Amino acid sequence: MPRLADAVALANHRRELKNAARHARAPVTVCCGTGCRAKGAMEVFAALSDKVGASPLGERHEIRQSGCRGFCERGPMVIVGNEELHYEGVTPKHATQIVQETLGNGTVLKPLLYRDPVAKQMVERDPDIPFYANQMRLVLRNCGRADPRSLDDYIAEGSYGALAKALTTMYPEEIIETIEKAGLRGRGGAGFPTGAKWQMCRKAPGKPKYIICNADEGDPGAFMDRSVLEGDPHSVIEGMVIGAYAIGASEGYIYVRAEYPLAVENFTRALEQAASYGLLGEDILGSGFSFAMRVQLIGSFRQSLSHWLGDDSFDFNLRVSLGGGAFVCGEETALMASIEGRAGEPRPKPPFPAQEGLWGLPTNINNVETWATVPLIIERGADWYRGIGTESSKGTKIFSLVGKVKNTGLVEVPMGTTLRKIIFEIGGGTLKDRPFKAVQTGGPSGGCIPAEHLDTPVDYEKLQALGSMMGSGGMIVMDERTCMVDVARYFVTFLEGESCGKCLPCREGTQRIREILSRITQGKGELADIEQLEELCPVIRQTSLCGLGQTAPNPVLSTLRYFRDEYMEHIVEKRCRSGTCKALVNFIVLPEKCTGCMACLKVCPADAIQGALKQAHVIDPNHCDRCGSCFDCCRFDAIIVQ
Amino acid sequence: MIELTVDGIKVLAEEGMSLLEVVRGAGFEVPTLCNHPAVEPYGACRLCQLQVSRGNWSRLVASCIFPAQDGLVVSTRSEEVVRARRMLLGLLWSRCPSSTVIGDLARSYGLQRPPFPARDEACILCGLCVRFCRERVGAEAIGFQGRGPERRVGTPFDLPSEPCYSCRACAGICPIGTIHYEEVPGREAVRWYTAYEGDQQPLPRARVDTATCSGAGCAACLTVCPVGCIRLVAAPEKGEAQTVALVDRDACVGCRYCEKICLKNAMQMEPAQENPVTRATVKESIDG
Amino acid sequence: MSAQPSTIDLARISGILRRYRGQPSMLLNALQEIQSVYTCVPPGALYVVARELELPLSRVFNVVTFYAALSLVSRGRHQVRICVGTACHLRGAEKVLAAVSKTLGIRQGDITPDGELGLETVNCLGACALAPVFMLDSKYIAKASPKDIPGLFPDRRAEAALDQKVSQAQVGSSHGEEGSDAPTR
Repeated sequence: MPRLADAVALANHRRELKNAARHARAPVTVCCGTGCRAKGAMEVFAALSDKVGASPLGERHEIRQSGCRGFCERGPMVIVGNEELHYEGVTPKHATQIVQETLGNGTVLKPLLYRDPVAKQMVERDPDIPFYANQMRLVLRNCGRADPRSLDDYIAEGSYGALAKALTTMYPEEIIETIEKAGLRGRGGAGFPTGAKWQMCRKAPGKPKYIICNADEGDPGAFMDRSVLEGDPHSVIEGMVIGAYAIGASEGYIYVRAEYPLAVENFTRALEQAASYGLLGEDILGSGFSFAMRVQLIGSFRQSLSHWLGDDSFDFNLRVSLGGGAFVCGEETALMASIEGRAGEPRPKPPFPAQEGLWGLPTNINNVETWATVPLIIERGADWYRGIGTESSKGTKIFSLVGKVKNTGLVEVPMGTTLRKIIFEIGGGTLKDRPFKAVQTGGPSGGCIPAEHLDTPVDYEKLQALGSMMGSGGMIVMDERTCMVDVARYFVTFLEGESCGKCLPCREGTQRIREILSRITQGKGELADIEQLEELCPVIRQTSLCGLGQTAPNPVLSTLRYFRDEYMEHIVEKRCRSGTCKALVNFIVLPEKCTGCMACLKVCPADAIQGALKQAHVIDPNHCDRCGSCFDCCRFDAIIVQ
Repeated sequence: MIELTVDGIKVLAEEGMSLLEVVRGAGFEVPTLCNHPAVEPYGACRLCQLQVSRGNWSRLVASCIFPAQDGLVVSTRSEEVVRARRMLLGLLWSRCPSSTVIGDLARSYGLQRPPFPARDEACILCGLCVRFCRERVGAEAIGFQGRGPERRVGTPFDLPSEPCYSCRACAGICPIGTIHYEEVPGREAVRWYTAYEGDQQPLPRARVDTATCSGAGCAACLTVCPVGCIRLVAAPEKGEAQTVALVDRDACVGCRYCEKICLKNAMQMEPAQENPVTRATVKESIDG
Repeated sequence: MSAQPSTIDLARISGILRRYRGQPSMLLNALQEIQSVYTCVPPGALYVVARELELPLSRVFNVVTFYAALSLVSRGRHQVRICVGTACHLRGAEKVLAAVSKTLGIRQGDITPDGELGLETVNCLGACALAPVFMLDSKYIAKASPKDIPGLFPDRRAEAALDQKVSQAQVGSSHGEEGSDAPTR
C-alpha cells in the first residue's frame, strides 16, 4: 500500500474498502485476545480455517481474527455470520460442527450459545446478550470487530477520519477548545480535565515537546488498556497524533508493560502500518505536520523482548525502549524518570510535566483510554460527547469487572450508570448467587463500597464521596466469603512493596499498616490497633509526596468506615466470618445438612475429614489446616465457619 | 516581592524561594532532616510540614518543596501540623530507635517512646549524603539501592567505591551522624557503612591558619567550597585592608576541597569540637 | 547477592553495549538486554555498563536494584509467574502459589537447583477473567486449580507443561460452567 498523500486519498481508500466489503464473504470472527488465546482460540482459528478452506463454503465465508471482545469469561468466542451468532467455549473439536451445521445448514448449535443466568434463557445473537446489550461501547467500538493485524479493517470502520478532519479543517487551539468543551477528564485515575492539561503544555515555552501514552496498567484487576491496545491500537495512535498536533509536540512515547506481549505486538505492528500509510511520521496526510513515536516496554518478558530487540527495521524514528516494571511508574514524574533511564522515583510538582517534563521539556501524559477517546470527540463533536454522562463527568468509562461476579470482563457504560446495573445486569450478579458484600473500585488505592450504596451513579465525585475513587476503572466484586480485613491487608501489602521508598510516610507508614493488619488477621489484634490506624492513615494521606502514598490508606479507611464490625469481630471475638483468616477459623460439618456425598473428603489435602457414604462427615480440628477446600466444594452448605 | 502571613505576622520575600526558606528566614523554627542549603530540595523526610491556606482552601505542605506564593497564610504550629509531625517522628523513631537526634526531636513533640515495634535501622534515608556526593562533590560514590521497604544507601556491592576520594563530606552532612568509614590502605577511598555502634568518629572541620592565609589575594577556597561556609574577614593584625578566610565551622561538612586547593597549606582539618549531630538538630519545644 | 563480580563473557556484553555507548538514557534497555542473555544482570557486567554508558556505577546499581524486572541473580531458564493481582487473590492465587511451590520444591523468588525453572509472582497479568492464572514463559494457564498442578510439572521440568497444546486448566473451565470461586486463604 502506498502512502496516503492527503485526506482525499484516505477518503477514497475508505470508500473502496467499503465497496469491497459489500461483496465480501460473511465473516466468522474468532476472538483472539489474550484471554481467549489462553483458552485455545488460536487452535480454534486454525481448525475453522482448515475446515472452511477445504470445503466450498470458503467462497461464502471468511474466517477472521479480532482483538479482545471483553467477555473473557466465556472464551474462546466465535461470532458467526452477518447475523452475529454468539458461540462461546468453543474448542477445535467444535470446528467441524460449526462449519457443517451452522455454515452449511444454517442450524444454530444450542450447546454453544450463551445462557443468561438471570433470565435462564439461551441468547442467539451477540448484541442481544445482556452483557453487551446494556453497554455503550464507544471507545471499545472496534475491539472485537476489526482484525488488529489489518489497518484496512480499521480504515473501513472509520479510523483516522478524525485525524484527517483535525489536520485539514481545525486549528490546534480549536482542537483543544473542543476537548475542553467536551469535558473529557483523564481516565487514568485523578480525572484531571484533559483539555486544560493540553492547553498548559501548548502554552509552555520550550521545544521540542513530547507526548506520552501511559500504558503502564499497574492496577491489579484492571485490563482495559491491554484490551484497547490489543483490539484497537489505531484509535490510540490516532488520538496521540491529534493530541500532538494540538499541543505542538513532535515526538511521542508509549510506556507499556511487557506483561502484555500481545498488546505490544499489535501496537507495534499498528505503528509500522500507520507509518507506511503516511498516518504517522513525516508530513502526515500531506498536512506538513510530522510526528514520531517510540515504544517503551516495561517488565521482563524475555520471550517478547527477543522478538523486538533484534529488529532495527523501524523507520519513522520508532525505537523500542525498555523499562523495568514498577507500579509507582504510573505516576507521571516517575514514569518520565524511567523513560530517561533512571530509577522511577516521583519528584515534587510543581514544576508540572507540562512545564518541565521529559528531558526538562514540556510533556503531556495521558493514559490509553483517554487517548482512544480523543478521535471520537473530534469526529462527532463536543456537544455529542457532552450529552453522555453526568454533570461533572462526561462520556463513557470502561470498567474491568472481576472478582466474584458471573460475567467477568470489560464493560463500557456511560458515566452515571449505577453500580447495581453494572454488577447485576451486565455482570449477571455474584458467583453462585452468594450474598454481595462489597465492590472495590479504583485499584489498590481505591476503596470498598458496600451493598447499601449499590444504587450510586458512578462518576468521579460520587465515588470519591464514598471514600473510593475512579482510578483506572477496576471494579472488583466481593461476596460474603471475602474477608474485608484481609482485603485491606492485601492492598496495603501491595502498596508497601510498590512504594518507591523515597518519602517517609509512604515507605514507613504502609509497612506499619501492613504489620497492624497482619496482626489482626492472625488473631493478635487489640482495640488500640484501630485507634493507631485511624491516627496513622490521615497523616500518610496528607504528607506523602506523590499520589501513591496519598491514596495508600484508602483501602483501610474505607473498610474501617463500612466494615468496622468485621475488624471488631477479628479483634474481640477472634473470629473471621468469611472463613478466610486461618488463625481465626474453625470449619465444622452440620450433620443435619450433610448428605454424605464424600466430596469434601476427596478434596481435603490434610485427610482431616472422616465419614462414609451417605453418613454425616466429621472434620478433625487437630488435623485440619484451614485451607477451606471443603467449605468451597460443599454444595449443600453443610460446612460452616464456627 | 511577595507578601505572606506567617503565624499572624506579615513576611515579605523575594519571588522564587521555597516556603521553608521564607518561613525560616523570618525566624520561625521548622524542623527538617533532609533539607540543606548546599543541595537541591528533595522532600523525603516530610518533617517541614506547614499548614497553608488561602480563602477556604487549606492543606498541609512539605515546605521545602513548596514555592512561596503571594497571599499565602501559613501556620507553623497548628494542631494539624503538630499532629502530622508527631506521627512522622513516631515512624522515624520506630525505624531508628537508637538515634539520639530523632529521640530528642520526637520527645519534644510529646512522644515518650517509639509508637511502633522498633526496627533498629541506622539510616533514615534522607538522602543528604547521596545528594551531596552527586550534586556538590560530583563523585556519585554512594547511591540509593532497592525499592520501598528494601531501600537503603550504600556503595555498589558494599565495596569501597571507585570514585570516592575520601572527602567524608557524607559523614559530615548526615543529620543523625550515622555514617562511619574506614580508611582503605593504599587508596584514596573509604569503606563506607552506616551504623550506630561505637562512638561517633570525630569529623574533620576546616580551620584557617591566619598566619599563612593570603586572604583576598587568593580566595580560592571561597570559590570551591560547596556549602559556601567560607568568607573573608578583616585582619587588622596583618596590616591595613588585609583579610583572611574564616570558616563557619557549624556549616562546614569537612569535604576538604579548600584544603586541596590552598596553595599556602593554610587550611587545616581538625576534629570537630562537639558532635556534629547537634549542629543539624533543629530543636523545637512545643509544650515548653 | 554476590559481592565479587563473577566471570562473564566481556566480548558478548561489549557487543550488546555497542549500540548504547555513551547514551546514559538507554541504561534500562542495556540492562534488560543483558538480562535476556544471562537470565540476570551478572554483577561484573555492571562495571562494563557503567563505563560504556558513561554513568557512575552507583547509579547503575540503583537502577538494577530498583526495578522488579532486573535481577543480579539468575531467574532460571524458564519462568513460572503466578499472578497475584486482586482478581486472582480473591479466587485463590495463594493456593496456586503454594501448590506450585510445593510441586517444584522451591519458594517464590528462587530457582530450581538445576537452574531450569524460576518461580515468581507478578502483580497482574491483565487476564483477570481467567483468575487464578499463571504463566509458564509466554503460555497462560487459566483457572488454575491446585490439584492440577503436580500433573503440569512432571519431573519438575518446564518442557512437558510447555508442550501441552491447550492449557490443562481449559478442561476445568468447560462450557457453561461458572468459574471457580475458591476464596483466598
